Amino acid sequence: MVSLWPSTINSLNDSLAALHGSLGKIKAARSVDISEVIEQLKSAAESSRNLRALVLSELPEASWQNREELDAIVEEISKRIEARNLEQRRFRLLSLATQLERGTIVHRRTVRLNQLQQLRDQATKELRSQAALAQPPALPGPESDEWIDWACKLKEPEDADSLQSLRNGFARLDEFIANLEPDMWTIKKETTA
Amino acid sequence: MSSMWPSALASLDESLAELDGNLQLLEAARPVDLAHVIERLKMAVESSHNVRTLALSDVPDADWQDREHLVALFEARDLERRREQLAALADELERGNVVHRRAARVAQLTQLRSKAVEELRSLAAAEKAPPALPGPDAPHWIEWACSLKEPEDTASLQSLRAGFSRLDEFVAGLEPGMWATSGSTPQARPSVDPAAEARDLEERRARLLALASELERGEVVHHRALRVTQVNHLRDQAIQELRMQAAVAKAPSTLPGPEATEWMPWACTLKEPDDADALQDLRDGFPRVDEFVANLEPGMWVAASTAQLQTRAATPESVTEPSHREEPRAQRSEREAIQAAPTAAAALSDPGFATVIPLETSPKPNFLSQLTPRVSSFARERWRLGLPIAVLLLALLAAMQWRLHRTHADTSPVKAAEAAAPNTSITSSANASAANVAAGSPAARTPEASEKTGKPKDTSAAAKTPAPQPPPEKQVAMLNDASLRTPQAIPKNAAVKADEASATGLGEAPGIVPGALPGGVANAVPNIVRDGPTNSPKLPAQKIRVSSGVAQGQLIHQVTPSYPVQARLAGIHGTVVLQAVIGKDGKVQNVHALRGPAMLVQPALDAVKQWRYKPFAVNGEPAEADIEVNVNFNP
Repeated sequence: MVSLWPSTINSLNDSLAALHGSLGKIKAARSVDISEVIEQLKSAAESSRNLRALVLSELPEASWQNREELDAIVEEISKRIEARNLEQRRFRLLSLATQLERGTIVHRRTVRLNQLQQLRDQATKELRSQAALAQPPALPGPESDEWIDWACKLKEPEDADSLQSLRNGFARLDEFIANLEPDMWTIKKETTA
Repeated sequence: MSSMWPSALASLDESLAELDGNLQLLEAARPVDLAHVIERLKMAVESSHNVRTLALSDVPDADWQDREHLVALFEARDLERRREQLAALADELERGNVVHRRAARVAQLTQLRSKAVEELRSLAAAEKAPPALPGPDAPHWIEWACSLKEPEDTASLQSLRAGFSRLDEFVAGLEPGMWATSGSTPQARPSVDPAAEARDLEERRARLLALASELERGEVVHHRALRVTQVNHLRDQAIQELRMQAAVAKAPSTLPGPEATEWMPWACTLKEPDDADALQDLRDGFPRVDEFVANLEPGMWVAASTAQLQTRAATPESVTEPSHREEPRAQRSEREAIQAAPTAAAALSDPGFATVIPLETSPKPNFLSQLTPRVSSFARERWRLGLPIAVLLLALLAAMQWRLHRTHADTSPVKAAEAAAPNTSITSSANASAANVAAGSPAARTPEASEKTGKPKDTSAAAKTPAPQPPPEKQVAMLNDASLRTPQAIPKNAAVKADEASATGLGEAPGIVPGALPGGVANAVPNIVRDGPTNSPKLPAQKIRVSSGVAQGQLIHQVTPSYPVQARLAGIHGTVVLQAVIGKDGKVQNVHALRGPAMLVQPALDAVKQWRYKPFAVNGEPAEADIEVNVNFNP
């Protein structure tokens, strides 16, 4: 839904810009295609209706008289959405850290197992550390219970963007995943209380 | 178009403004009635199309990108059109003509027109934008401008005045009907019925001809014949001018003033600056008529219808008199001979005379003070011309009188003379003339006096003829009648006696008195021939009738009548006509009033009773004289 805001607003602005262009021609007594201008008008009306619906979905009691007041409301809504996104991002990091703690590393050699255990601990610390930041980085991938499986299947060059994002924001987590093979991780299923 | 594009643009802007309001609602994501907005959009597009059509209709190949460019295009075209309009009006002004009856006015307006044209062309050629010319296009502009009036058209007039001062000055001086385009009738009269215009033209011509006739019939009166001649010459020129104006093919100038019969009194009372307009019209349209009336004082004109009345109203003291321009020569000469009495000038030069003049009815009392030198001058100037004519006419009169005397002498000469004397001023005048000639006064005996006796003289004194006189035409008729009249009852022996009288000669006719006859019967014949070898017996001096003019010449002492204050305050004025008998000693023996305002009679009587005359004489013998005296009271 967040992505609808700019697109809707932009759509409205684009429609109005086209309409204003046609009106400029009309004002200068230049020839215009009346049907095209009417279509532009209808498009602008549609974008306007969508934007109004978005605003009212975020703030059902919102009221405004002009574009400036509308812009202020949209700005307020944007801030709320941003804060909500940060909280969600932080929640995902903490959730993944918890998920890493609950899981078990399985390997035939103890040295290798200890090594991976140590990497897991560093990744967990990193996640918790990042989640404590004011602007925690966005963790690519799915939700925490599916995240280890998703991460162990990443391979280059197909998933370069996600790997790069992971490497840039979460270096310890990236190192842990890079050493973990899919069958080396087991996790107990949470029982519903 | 120059007045249409702003309104078309305004209409478009109005549509766009309403549309813009709906677009703002859309921009603010507020609800709108889309169908309504679409309608507004269509209206705006329609207005836009109109503006576009307007622009392309004026400049088909015009091209523009935005509103500013379009407005600049319109303004440039406006400027061009404004210059074209000024140039077109300048051309229109140059093509047309100023129409006016007065050449001076035409010249004045044409000069203003030239300045207006110059102004228009200068503004049209100026680099900066010329002011907007109010009003319609050139062909209708002058008509429009001439119909502007304040305060209704103040805005247009102010605009015209502010931007085109010369043009404004021109049209301000241009009346409707004074402008004609080339080859057309005056624009301000497009609706005039040609028949009505023709009638108007005819009426105008008829007025001119009527006045010409009126001028011909009337008389110029003045105490100096020279002046009369001068003014008559001006009159002739005025008449000629009027007839020429009436005869010209183009419309004659409009003659200001009333109808012909009232025109001269009106014109003679015009004065500046009160009547500046009428005088200007007269001067411009009829310079000769103007010159004539400018030289004519109110008392110097006797209309044909009033000539007789004026003559009868003349007073002894008045120095003005009809000049008898159209008077028969015989009658004129007779009167001039009478008025040539040499004592007149002497009497008029008497200071006592001058003192009484202001009270009397002379139309211009102050010019009486100039009378004496004028009379003297007149006597010097006129005698050469009038002398031969007067002698001939007197001889003719003498012959006629002689024939009458012969006719009456057979029965009762005295009765015939008495019957013929009183009612005919001509007879009375002739009698008076004879009496004066016979009076034997020292002045009459001088060579100069002899000349004056026979030559035409200033007629001022004769104007005071007291007895009522018929009009000049009638006087002629009466004179001829008197000469040729068949007696109503002819004695059976009349023919025989006439033959006898003829046979015995004039002086020997029994009953014929060679000197003055009782009752003033024409005694000119004996006087004219008195120097001849006659032995007519002298009769005792008798009472003679003397004209007031002659009597005035004999007046040696005059007392000014007192003007009663009550009469003056009441506005009572006029002439008191008295009849008096002058004794042989020159004293006023018996005087009584014939007519006049009652309040003024007694003062007149009181004054005249104190007057003294030189004794009258007939053939050297003192005689009583019967005279009429007019005493005038002017407030």
